[in-house]
Amino acid sequence: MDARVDAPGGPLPILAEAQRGMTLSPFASLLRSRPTAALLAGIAALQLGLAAFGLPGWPCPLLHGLGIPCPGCGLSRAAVELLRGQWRASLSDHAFAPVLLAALPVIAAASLLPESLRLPLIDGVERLERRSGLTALVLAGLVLYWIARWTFARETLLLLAGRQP
Amino acid sequence: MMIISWLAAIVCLICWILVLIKMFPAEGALKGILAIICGLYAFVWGWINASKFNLRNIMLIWTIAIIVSVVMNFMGAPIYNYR
Repeated sequence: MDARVDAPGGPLPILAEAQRGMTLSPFASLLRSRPTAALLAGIAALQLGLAAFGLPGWPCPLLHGLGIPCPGCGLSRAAVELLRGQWRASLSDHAFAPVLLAALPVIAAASLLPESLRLPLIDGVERLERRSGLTALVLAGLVLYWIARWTFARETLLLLAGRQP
Repeated sequence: MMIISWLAAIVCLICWILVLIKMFPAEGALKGILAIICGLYAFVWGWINASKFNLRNIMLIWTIAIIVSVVMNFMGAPIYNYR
Protein backbone atom coordinates (compact mmCIF):
# COMPACT_ATOMS: atom_id res chain seq x y z
CA MET A 1 0.00 0.00 0.00
CA ASP A 2 2.83 2.43 0.76
CA ALA A 3 4.66 3.97 -2.19
CA ARG A 4 8.25 4.68 -1.37
CA VAL A 5 10.51 7.19 -3.03
CA ASP A 6 14.17 7.72 -2.55
CA ALA A 7 15.01 11.00 -0.94
CA PRO A 8 18.12 12.45 0.57
CA GLY A 9 18.68 10.68 3.85
CA GLY A 10 16.77 7.54 2.89
CA PRO A 11 13.45 6.32 1.51
CA LEU A 12 10.35 8.16 2.67
CA PRO A 13 6.98 6.44 2.93
CA ILE A 14 4.28 8.24 0.97
CA LEU A 15 0.65 7.36 1.62
CA ALA A 16 -0.95 5.90 -1.49
CA GLU A 17 -4.40 7.09 -2.51
CA ALA A 18 -5.90 3.75 -1.41
CA GLN A 19 -4.37 4.08 2.06
CA ARG A 20 -5.62 7.66 2.36
CA GLY A 21 -9.03 6.37 1.38
CA MET A 22 -8.93 3.70 4.02
CA THR A 23 -7.99 6.24 6.67
CA LEU A 24 -10.79 8.61 5.61
CA SER A 25 -13.38 5.88 5.22
CA PRO A 26 -12.92 3.57 8.20
CA PHE A 27 -16.45 2.19 8.03
CA ALA A 28 -16.03 1.13 4.40
CA SER A 29 -12.65 -0.43 5.11
CA LEU A 30 -14.24 -2.35 7.97
CA LEU A 31 -16.95 -3.61 5.59
CA ARG A 32 -14.37 -4.74 3.02
CA SER A 33 -13.30 -7.53 5.33
CA ARG A 34 -16.13 -10.07 5.11
CA PRO A 35 -15.00 -11.99 8.23
CA THR A 36 -14.85 -8.76 10.26
CA ALA A 37 -18.30 -7.69 9.09
CA ALA A 38 -19.76 -11.14 9.75
CA LEU A 39 -18.28 -11.37 13.25
CA LEU A 40 -19.40 -7.85 14.12
CA ALA A 41 -22.92 -8.42 12.83
CA GLY A 42 -23.20 -11.74 14.66
CA ILE A 43 -21.89 -10.47 17.98
CA ALA A 44 -23.98 -7.28 17.72
CA ALA A 45 -27.11 -9.36 17.10
CA LEU A 46 -26.27 -11.52 20.12
CA GLN A 47 -25.66 -8.41 22.26
CA LEU A 48 -29.02 -6.92 21.22
CA GLY A 49 -30.73 -10.24 21.93
CA LEU A 50 -29.25 -10.38 25.43
CA ALA A 51 -30.20 -6.73 26.04
CA ALA A 52 -33.76 -7.47 24.86
CA PHE A 53 -34.11 -10.08 27.63
CA GLY A 54 -32.38 -7.91 30.24
CA LEU A 55 -29.44 -10.28 30.42
CA PRO A 56 -25.83 -9.16 30.90
CA GLY A 57 -23.88 -9.17 27.66
CA TRP A 58 -20.57 -7.74 26.51
CA PRO A 59 -18.47 -6.70 29.54
CA CYS A 60 -17.22 -3.23 28.58
CA PRO A 61 -13.49 -2.97 29.43
CA LEU A 62 -13.73 0.70 30.40
CA LEU A 63 -16.73 0.29 32.66
CA HIS A 64 -15.73 -2.98 34.26
CA GLY A 65 -12.05 -2.17 34.52
CA LEU A 66 -12.08 1.49 35.53
CA GLY A 67 -15.70 2.07 36.53
CA ILE A 68 -16.14 4.75 33.87
CA PRO A 69 -19.12 4.40 31.52
CA CYS A 70 -17.86 4.39 27.94
CA PRO A 71 -19.31 6.52 25.12
CA GLY A 72 -21.39 3.55 24.01
CA CYS A 73 -22.89 2.84 27.42
CA GLY A 74 -26.62 2.28 27.10
CA LEU A 75 -26.52 1.92 23.34
CA SER A 76 -27.68 -1.70 23.27
CA ARG A 77 -30.65 -1.03 25.52
CA ALA A 78 -31.49 2.16 23.62
CA ALA A 79 -31.45 0.23 20.34
CA VAL A 80 -33.77 -2.45 21.75
CA GLU A 81 -36.14 0.22 23.08
CA LEU A 82 -36.19 1.94 19.70
CA LEU A 83 -36.99 -1.36 17.99
CA ARG A 84 -39.90 -1.73 20.42
CA GLY A 85 -41.16 1.76 19.54
CA GLN A 86 -40.19 3.23 22.91
CA TRP A 87 -38.44 6.19 21.38
CA ARG A 88 -38.54 8.42 24.49
CA ALA A 89 -36.84 5.75 26.61
CA SER A 90 -34.42 5.12 23.77
CA LEU A 91 -33.50 8.79 23.53
CA SER A 92 -33.04 8.95 27.26
CA ASP A 93 -30.74 5.93 27.34
CA HIS A 94 -28.63 6.87 24.31
CA ALA A 95 -29.38 9.31 21.52
CA PHE A 96 -27.25 7.49 18.96
CA ALA A 97 -29.37 4.33 18.86
CA PRO A 98 -30.75 5.25 15.40
CA VAL A 99 -27.18 5.44 14.08
CA LEU A 100 -26.45 1.95 15.39
CA LEU A 101 -29.66 0.57 13.92
CA ALA A 102 -28.79 2.17 10.57
CA ALA A 103 -25.26 0.75 10.58
CA LEU A 104 -26.07 -2.82 11.60
CA PRO A 105 -28.04 -3.79 8.46
CA VAL A 106 -25.23 -2.38 6.31
CA ILE A 107 -22.68 -4.46 8.23
CA ALA A 108 -24.89 -7.54 7.94
CA ALA A 109 -25.39 -6.94 4.20
CA ALA A 110 -21.64 -6.55 3.70
CA SER A 111 -21.09 -9.93 5.29
CA LEU A 112 -23.88 -11.82 3.51
CA LEU A 113 -24.30 -10.39 0.03
CA PRO A 114 -22.54 -11.89 -3.00
CA GLU A 115 -19.55 -9.96 -4.30
CA SER A 116 -21.53 -8.52 -7.22
CA LEU A 117 -23.81 -6.67 -4.78
CA ARG A 118 -21.43 -6.29 -1.88
CA LEU A 119 -18.73 -4.30 -3.67
CA PRO A 120 -21.08 -1.58 -5.03
CA LEU A 121 -22.56 -1.24 -1.54
CA ILE A 122 -19.14 -0.79 0.03
CA ASP A 123 -18.04 1.59 -2.74
CA GLY A 124 -21.17 3.65 -2.09
CA VAL A 125 -20.44 3.77 1.62
CA GLU A 126 -16.85 4.80 0.91
CA ARG A 127 -17.98 7.60 -1.43
CA LEU A 128 -20.41 8.85 1.21
CA GLU A 129 -17.74 8.77 3.90
CA ARG A 130 -15.13 10.55 1.81
CA ARG A 131 -17.51 13.25 0.57
CA SER A 132 -19.27 13.95 3.85
CA GLY A 133 -16.81 12.83 6.53
CA LEU A 134 -19.82 11.09 8.05
CA THR A 135 -17.95 8.54 10.14
CA ALA A 136 -15.63 11.14 11.62
CA LEU A 137 -18.63 13.36 12.41
CA VAL A 138 -20.51 10.50 14.08
CA LEU A 139 -17.48 9.49 16.15
CA ALA A 140 -16.84 13.10 17.17
CA GLY A 141 -20.51 13.46 18.03
CA LEU A 142 -20.39 10.32 20.16
CA VAL A 143 -17.41 11.60 22.11
CA LEU A 144 -18.97 15.05 22.61
CA TYR A 145 -22.25 13.43 23.67
CA TRP A 146 -20.36 11.31 26.21
CA ILE A 147 -18.52 14.37 27.57
CA ALA A 148 -21.81 16.26 27.81
CA ARG A 149 -23.51 13.39 29.67
CA TRP A 150 -20.53 13.01 32.01
CA THR A 151 -20.54 16.75 32.69
CA PHE A 152 -24.25 17.55 32.91
CA ALA A 153 -25.98 14.22 33.62
CA ARG A 154 -23.39 12.17 35.45
CA GLU A 155 -25.83 10.63 37.93
CA THR A 156 -28.08 9.40 35.15
CA LEU A 157 -25.12 8.01 33.24
CA LEU A 158 -23.75 6.18 36.29
CA LEU A 159 -27.17 4.73 37.11
CA LEU A 160 -27.49 3.60 33.50
CA ALA A 161 -24.17 1.81 33.87
CA GLY A 162 -25.31 0.15 37.07
CA ARG A 163 -23.15 2.20 39.38
CA GLN A 164 -24.16 4.29 42.35
CA PRO A 165 -23.55 8.04 41.74
CA MET B 1 -16.38 -14.51 43.65
CA MET B 2 -16.35 -10.69 43.42
CA ILE B 3 -12.55 -10.85 43.41
CA ILE B 4 -12.67 -13.15 40.42
CA SER B 5 -15.02 -10.71 38.67
CA TRP B 6 -12.65 -7.84 39.41
CA LEU B 7 -9.64 -9.78 38.18
CA ALA B 8 -11.42 -10.72 34.98
CA ALA B 9 -12.38 -7.07 34.48
CA ILE B 10 -8.79 -5.91 34.91
CA VAL B 11 -7.55 -8.57 32.51
CA CYS B 12 -10.16 -7.45 29.94
CA LEU B 13 -9.02 -3.85 30.35
CA ILE B 14 -5.34 -4.70 29.92
CA CYS B 15 -5.99 -6.86 26.84
CA TRP B 16 -8.17 -4.14 25.33
CA ILE B 17 -5.40 -1.57 25.81
CA LEU B 18 -2.82 -3.91 24.28
CA VAL B 19 -5.03 -4.38 21.22
CA LEU B 20 -5.54 -0.61 20.95
CA ILE B 21 -1.78 -0.10 21.02
CA LYS B 22 -1.48 -2.33 17.95
CA MET B 23 -4.56 -0.94 16.26
CA PHE B 24 -3.83 2.78 16.27
CA PRO B 25 -0.66 2.67 14.15
CA ALA B 26 -2.08 -0.06 11.92
CA GLU B 27 -5.55 1.31 11.21
CA GLY B 28 -5.41 5.00 11.99
CA ALA B 29 -7.00 7.34 14.49
CA LEU B 30 -10.64 7.00 13.42
CA LYS B 31 -10.72 3.24 13.73
CA GLY B 32 -8.81 3.50 16.97
CA ILE B 33 -11.43 5.87 18.36
CA LEU B 34 -14.14 3.50 17.15
CA ALA B 35 -12.41 0.71 19.07
CA ILE B 36 -12.34 2.87 22.20
CA ILE B 37 -16.04 3.68 21.85
CA CYS B 38 -16.94 0.11 20.96
CA GLY B 39 -14.71 -2.39 22.73
CA LEU B 40 -16.53 -5.08 20.78
CA TYR B 41 -14.90 -3.85 17.57
CA ALA B 42 -11.47 -3.99 19.21
CA PHE B 43 -12.19 -7.59 20.20
CA VAL B 44 -13.27 -8.56 16.69
CA TRP B 45 -10.33 -6.73 15.11
CA GLY B 46 -7.95 -8.43 17.52
CA TRP B 47 -9.13 -11.89 16.51
CA ILE B 48 -9.20 -11.13 12.77
CA ASN B 49 -5.62 -9.80 12.95
CA ALA B 50 -4.31 -12.13 15.67
CA SER B 51 -1.72 -13.78 13.44
CA LYS B 52 -0.67 -10.60 11.67
CA PHE B 53 0.10 -8.67 14.86
CA ASN B 54 1.04 -11.54 17.21
CA LEU B 55 -2.09 -11.04 19.27
CA ARG B 56 -3.19 -14.65 19.51
CA ASN B 57 -2.19 -15.16 23.16
CA ILE B 58 -3.66 -11.80 24.20
CA MET B 59 -6.92 -12.58 22.43
CA LEU B 60 -7.12 -16.00 24.05
CA ILE B 61 -6.61 -14.47 27.49
CA TRP B 62 -9.17 -11.74 26.71
CA THR B 63 -11.70 -14.31 25.55
CA ILE B 64 -11.25 -16.38 28.69
CA ALA B 65 -11.60 -13.24 30.83
CA ILE B 66 -14.85 -12.35 29.03
CA ILE B 67 -16.23 -15.84 29.60
CA VAL B 68 -15.30 -15.63 33.29
CA SER B 69 -17.00 -12.18 33.53
CA VAL B 70 -20.19 -13.45 31.91
CA VAL B 71 -20.24 -16.57 34.10
CA MET B 72 -19.70 -14.48 37.23
CA ASN B 73 -22.58 -12.22 36.15
CA PHE B 74 -24.90 -15.17 35.82
CA MET B 75 -23.71 -16.61 39.12
CA GLY B 76 -24.75 -13.44 40.89
CA ALA B 77 -21.41 -11.75 41.31
CA PRO B 78 -21.60 -8.93 38.79
CA ILE B 79 -19.37 -5.92 39.12
CA TYR B 80 -22.23 -3.66 38.16
CA ASN B 81 -25.94 -4.22 38.17
CA TYR B 82 -27.55 -3.06 34.97
CA ARG B 83 -31.13 -1.93 35.38
